Amino acid sequence: MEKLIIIGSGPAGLSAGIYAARGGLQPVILEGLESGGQLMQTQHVANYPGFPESVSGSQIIAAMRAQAEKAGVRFVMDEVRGVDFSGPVKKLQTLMGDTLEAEAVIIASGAGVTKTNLPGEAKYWGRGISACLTCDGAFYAKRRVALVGEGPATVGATRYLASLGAEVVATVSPAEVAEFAGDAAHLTQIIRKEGVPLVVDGVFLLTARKPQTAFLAGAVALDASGHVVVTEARTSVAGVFAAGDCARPRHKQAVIAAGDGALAALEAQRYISSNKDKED
Amino acid sequence: MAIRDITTAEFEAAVATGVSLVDFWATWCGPCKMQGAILETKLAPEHPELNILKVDVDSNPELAAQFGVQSIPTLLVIRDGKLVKQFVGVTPPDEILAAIGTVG
Repeated sequence: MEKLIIIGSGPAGLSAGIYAARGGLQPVILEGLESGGQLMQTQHVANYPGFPESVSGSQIIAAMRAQAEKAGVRFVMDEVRGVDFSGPVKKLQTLMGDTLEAEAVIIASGAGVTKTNLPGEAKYWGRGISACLTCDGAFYAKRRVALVGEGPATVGATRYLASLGAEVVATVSPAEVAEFAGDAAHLTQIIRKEGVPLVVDGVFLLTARKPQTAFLAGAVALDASGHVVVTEARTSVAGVFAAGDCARPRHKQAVIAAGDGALAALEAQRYISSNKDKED
Repeated sequence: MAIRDITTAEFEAAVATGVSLVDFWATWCGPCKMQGAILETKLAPEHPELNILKVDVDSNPELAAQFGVQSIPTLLVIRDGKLVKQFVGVTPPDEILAAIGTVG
């Protein structure tokens, strides 16, 4: 059994890892499918303290990860699919098919793109519709793509896809889309509620990001928007802590996530040492 | 059977007999690493009868296009040369084995 398992490898998870390792908890970080988290998609970060010149999100993550590795954090390439927090030993079922056990858990699973559930989305998922720019952007060199979403993420995504040689023909809000349509095998157009259909080879979803907490399935208390409810990083279950965007309904910022991660690690350390005191 | 990398030219002969798993991946795809680890550490050791093949989409775009692969990882289950299942996204070992069970 591990002392501490940290779910997620974005700023919250990495910061928690650095603090926990330095505190002697020998933490394990489960990286998740999107190693490094959302910050990996951000090309310019101008508000992370300590970097007076703008840096990329991936540079910040690489530096945090190097620091975590140096401190002794162990990284495991796996993702949590289910949890059992009912007993003193916390259990995590993973995508790889393993069950991992820990005395304490920090949930730092972040936020992610949500599906639109519009007609045609399920049919053409992976057949023209994608939510992973870094995985699938390269398939669209010299081809026409549209972004479905809003906000600053679409600007960075347009630049990124253009750098791969794709032609970004439009950015549309999910509210404007009636249906994703195509032939038997591929998406070929976006049918809009108004105006002519957009003829495209691919669509990238950049819809509003929601907390990635579905895997918890009621094991800890969530608020109405799906965020983990925390008090000083402590969840409704003793020994389970949460940090970063999965527990922050309002302010989703890398520096806040990193602060949350440190707080969660310190609280986890306090919990583990108080357990030890009871045993002694 | 060891996992091996194949090219477009080798594909047809490689999947002609038995049950094959074909993993479309690329070096720049993070989730593909997890799919690779599932095949390498969970399936290959316990299921030596499976023919596990990897296709780098950067080197073999024709093969990716042939199966309409536009998102990776994509995993094909092929029995005696015939496609029986195509998974998109990282697929856990139990789902892969269930798909093989229905064709095996």
